[in-house]
Amino acid sequence: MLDQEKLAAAMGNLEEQEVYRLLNDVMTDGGKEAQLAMDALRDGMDDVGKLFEKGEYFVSDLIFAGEIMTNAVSILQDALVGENEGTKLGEMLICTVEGDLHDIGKNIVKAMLVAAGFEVIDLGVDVRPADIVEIVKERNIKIIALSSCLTLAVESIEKTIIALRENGMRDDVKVLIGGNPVNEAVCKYVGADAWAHSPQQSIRICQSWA
Amino acid sequence: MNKEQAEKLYMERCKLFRDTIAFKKPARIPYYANIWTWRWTDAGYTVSEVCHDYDKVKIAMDLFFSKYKVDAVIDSGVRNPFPLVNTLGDSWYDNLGKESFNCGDKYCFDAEDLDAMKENIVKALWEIGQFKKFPNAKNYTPEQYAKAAKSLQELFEVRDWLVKDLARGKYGCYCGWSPNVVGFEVMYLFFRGIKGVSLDLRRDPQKLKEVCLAIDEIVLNPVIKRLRALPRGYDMEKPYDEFSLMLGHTVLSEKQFGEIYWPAFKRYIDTFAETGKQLFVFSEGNWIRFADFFDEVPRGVVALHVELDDIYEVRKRNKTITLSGGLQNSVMSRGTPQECVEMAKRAIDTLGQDGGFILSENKMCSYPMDAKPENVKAVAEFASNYWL
Repeated sequence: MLDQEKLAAAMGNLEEQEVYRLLNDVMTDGGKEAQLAMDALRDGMDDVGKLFEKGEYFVSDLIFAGEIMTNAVSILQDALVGENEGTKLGEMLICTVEGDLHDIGKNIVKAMLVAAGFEVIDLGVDVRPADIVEIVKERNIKIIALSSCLTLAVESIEKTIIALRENGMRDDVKVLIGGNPVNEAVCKYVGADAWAHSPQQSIRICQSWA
Repeated sequence: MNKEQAEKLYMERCKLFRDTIAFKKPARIPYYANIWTWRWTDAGYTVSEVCHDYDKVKIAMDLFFSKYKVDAVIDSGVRNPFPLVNTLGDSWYDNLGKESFNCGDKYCFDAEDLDAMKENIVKALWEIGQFKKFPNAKNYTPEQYAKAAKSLQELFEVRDWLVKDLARGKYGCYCGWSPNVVGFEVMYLFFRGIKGVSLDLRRDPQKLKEVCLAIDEIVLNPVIKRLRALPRGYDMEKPYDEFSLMLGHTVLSEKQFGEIYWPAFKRYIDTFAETGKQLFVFSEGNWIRFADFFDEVPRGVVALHVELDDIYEVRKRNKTITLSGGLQNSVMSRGTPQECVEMAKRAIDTLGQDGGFILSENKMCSYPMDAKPENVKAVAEFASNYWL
């Protein structure tokens, strides 16, 4: 039987091999406790976020946590198909905007959003405004997180928000922007709803919108 | 301007840097343009055109210096030299477009190569690294290598022309950067990448540390040796003695920085203090988290570029390091010339009255939207006439 506290602690302490061992045990038992394992991983990721905010963990630790989380989901994947229990905060979209191929920041935030209970549609990198608008329309998405690293991406963020407005969707969608080139001034002139540099802050903002 | 006038101006500009880094009141605060590929599109070229043609690189650089009265510019103009990259037919650049291009992550080593790297880093580069970075390298012919060597020589010649004949010889301006970095930076930038070092830091920190030391042995130690062999004091034909990068700290906690980065970097900085020389550190991301480490750095030895931190807060925290920055890209790109001049004036008045400050854009100007030409012109004009 899964020891949720043990798994959450292993995730929070970034004990990679221990996390995989506990998850493989879950799958050996037929995967009936896969959702409980996901809940425990979520608690562990929450601890990772808190340690990041306290300055005990930093970016490299978040990248490592993201790697563990990605592998963890892939171990549990078969058992999780069709599961609808647990904390579900709804669908949201994340991507790196057009002209920018950087994905490390996006992947960290995505891993933490998944852990927090969002169903995250990840469109990848270098994503055109038209493609974002299409998915938002098709899936009735209410929260979008736009990631960037290059200053060039600020223009793409602005174009994406204009495209949402032109398609009459801006008032129905909350837009969070993140990454190195964004700040309060950028947030204002591109017309986003919020901005963040830290993953934990990103999660909190999305949770407040869910 | 004739050659003699250009040389006189060049020496005056070098002195501005030397004085301000030493916290001696300079005649005025130098403007060190953090302007890179922005020059290409400002000259009316597409990125694709310039990347493949050194003549266009030269024309764009010439046009830049003739239009904007900057004191120095960080980039020498030969970043992303596609003629060299394409020589061996193993280019990994894509999306080569009008204003930008991208390239996928491609690093020399995987985690399982750490032992070989630790053992003999040069051997590992030849036997493992080059084949991971250049997948077709096993099939390269001696003729291809010879062609690559020729292309590299051509690149050096173009760089020398830009730095010596054009920037210094025609405009009295300094440009060029040949960074010397600590082992962790080499791992972060070239050998393992951001994700690679992040995983190594958790999975095998001791081995990573040993590899960084092995890299220091061949990258940093020869520079330290060379600096010690030089006569004590500044080389007045340069604005500072060496250039370094501080980028990898952006993924490290303070504890990790203290263990894997600072010992080598401190040894490097100490060499400048010992030999009476000056170091410029181009730093990205937030630096203020690491301010405690730099409390040991003596006054007048290091100049530091400030990207994301509030430069006024950094000044309050540290009184011994010269700060470079103060021009916010968000204002340079969206503001008016008047707003940009006011921003420059505030920075010089607040941070530079007794030296210890260099005016520069906080973020690299790479794309057309990163700054308006009229704003760069206004700031350069203002800085060149604002005497202290």
